[in-house]
Amino acid sequence: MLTDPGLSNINEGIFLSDFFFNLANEVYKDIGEKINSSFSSSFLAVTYSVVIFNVLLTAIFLLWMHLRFVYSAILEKETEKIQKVYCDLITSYLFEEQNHEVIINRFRKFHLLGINHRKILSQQIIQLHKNLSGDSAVQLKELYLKLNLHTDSYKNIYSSDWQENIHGIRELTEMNITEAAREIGHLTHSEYEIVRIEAISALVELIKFNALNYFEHRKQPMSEWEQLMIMEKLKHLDRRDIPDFTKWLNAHNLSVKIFAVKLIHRFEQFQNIDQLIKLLDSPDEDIKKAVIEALGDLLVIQSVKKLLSIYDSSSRAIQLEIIKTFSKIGGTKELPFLQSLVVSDDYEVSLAASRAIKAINHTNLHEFRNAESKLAEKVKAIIEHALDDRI
Amino acid sequence: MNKDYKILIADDELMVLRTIEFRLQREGYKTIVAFDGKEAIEKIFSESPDLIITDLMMPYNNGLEIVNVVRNQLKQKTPVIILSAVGLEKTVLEAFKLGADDFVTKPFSPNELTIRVEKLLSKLQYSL
Repeated sequence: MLTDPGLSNINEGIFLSDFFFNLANEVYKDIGEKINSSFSSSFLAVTYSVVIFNVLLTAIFLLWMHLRFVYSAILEKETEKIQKVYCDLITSYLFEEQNHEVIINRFRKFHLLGINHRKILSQQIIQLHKNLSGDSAVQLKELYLKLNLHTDSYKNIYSSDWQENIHGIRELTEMNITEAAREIGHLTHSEYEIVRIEAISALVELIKFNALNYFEHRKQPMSEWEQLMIMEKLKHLDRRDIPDFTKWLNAHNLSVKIFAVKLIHRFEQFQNIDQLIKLLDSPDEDIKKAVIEALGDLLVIQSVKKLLSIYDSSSRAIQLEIIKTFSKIGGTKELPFLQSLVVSDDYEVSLAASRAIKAINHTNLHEFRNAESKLAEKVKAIIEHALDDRI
Repeated sequence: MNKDYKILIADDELMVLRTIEFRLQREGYKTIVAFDGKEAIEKIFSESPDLIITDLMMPYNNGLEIVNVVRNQLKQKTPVIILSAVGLEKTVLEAFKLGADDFVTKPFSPNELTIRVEKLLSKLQYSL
């Protein structure tokens, strides 16, 4: 057969490329199989270990949960048992005076060895103290002190944990340990507002108005909430023991100063009115606002002149406060001033002035509206609004 | 006075319950206790107490329901003393309307409660 040399070259080329292709194929197949087999075996090993690990982990978790459950059940039962024993001992202590020493010794020798036992007993005494009054409450306090349970509460006071601080404060307050006032007093400077409020509320219960002495060196500002809480507590104290609140008007802490103004206001200390009027020159807006509110509610008519004198130099908020106060303490003398404000471009000022005029003299506002024919429609509408008794 | 009276004390606070029980037992009264309203009602039916001291707020059935059971279901005149916390005056008034005989505000004096029990029981003795 005749062969074209060119063709034979091509055939040769094809043969060579086939040869190399097959060779490469063989080599790669071999490597691939090796890779495949080693990959699948290691993949399986990893999968198995993950599964076994997960099963073990779940088993350990379930065991831990079970043990925890068993432990808490045993603890609960044990606590119940202890509570019953303590309950009997406490009630015996309350009504069997002749056995007081015996019961105390029993507590000391057999029961108060662990902190957990002390905690249970402490909780029981405190809980019962909440429910009892008279001799029984006194006896409970005596038992609490004789068993030195108050020392645990003191430890809580000095703890760095704010929740424990609150526990300690509450326990000592419930048991009426007035001697703890100094320790609780330290917490009125706590970095946590909740602890500060708890501490000052506790002090009001323990040492009444003397609790306010802790404000003298107070650095942290008093929040509105704190002021409200303390005011609520003070409200229930015997009014005969009210101190002179002007002492705190000189406090460095601005919020304490404002609180003192509110106290003078709330407890109607008319003897301190002059001190309040002096504070109208204070550069602080909040103090001014609190003072103006107090002067209005206490109906201090003699402050009108001063209020008028500071009106022009005051901020809009204070001006509004002054106008509103005039509805309580303003008289016919202030009507021209208020009428001049009714025509103000400021809607709120105009409405507040209209309302103040209405409060001082209802007919005057009517007359003013009818007499002033040049009044803008807007102002007339504001006066109508103020005159509407339904609003 | 006859101290064979049986008094039911119902309160969900163990310490309060035991204190009242102990105090009344010392006076010679027989006592039955219940830790919730349901148990109290069961014991009213099964034990027929001569006087009931019940806390106002209890699980299952409250003090009002207990008064209701005694007065309207059983139609009995068994004296009922209500124990209540301060601030529940409205509910106490409701209890009186239902027929409660007395109420004691917590915190209370166990001695004072004992005197009230004695008073109510002596009234009961005279009415019999």
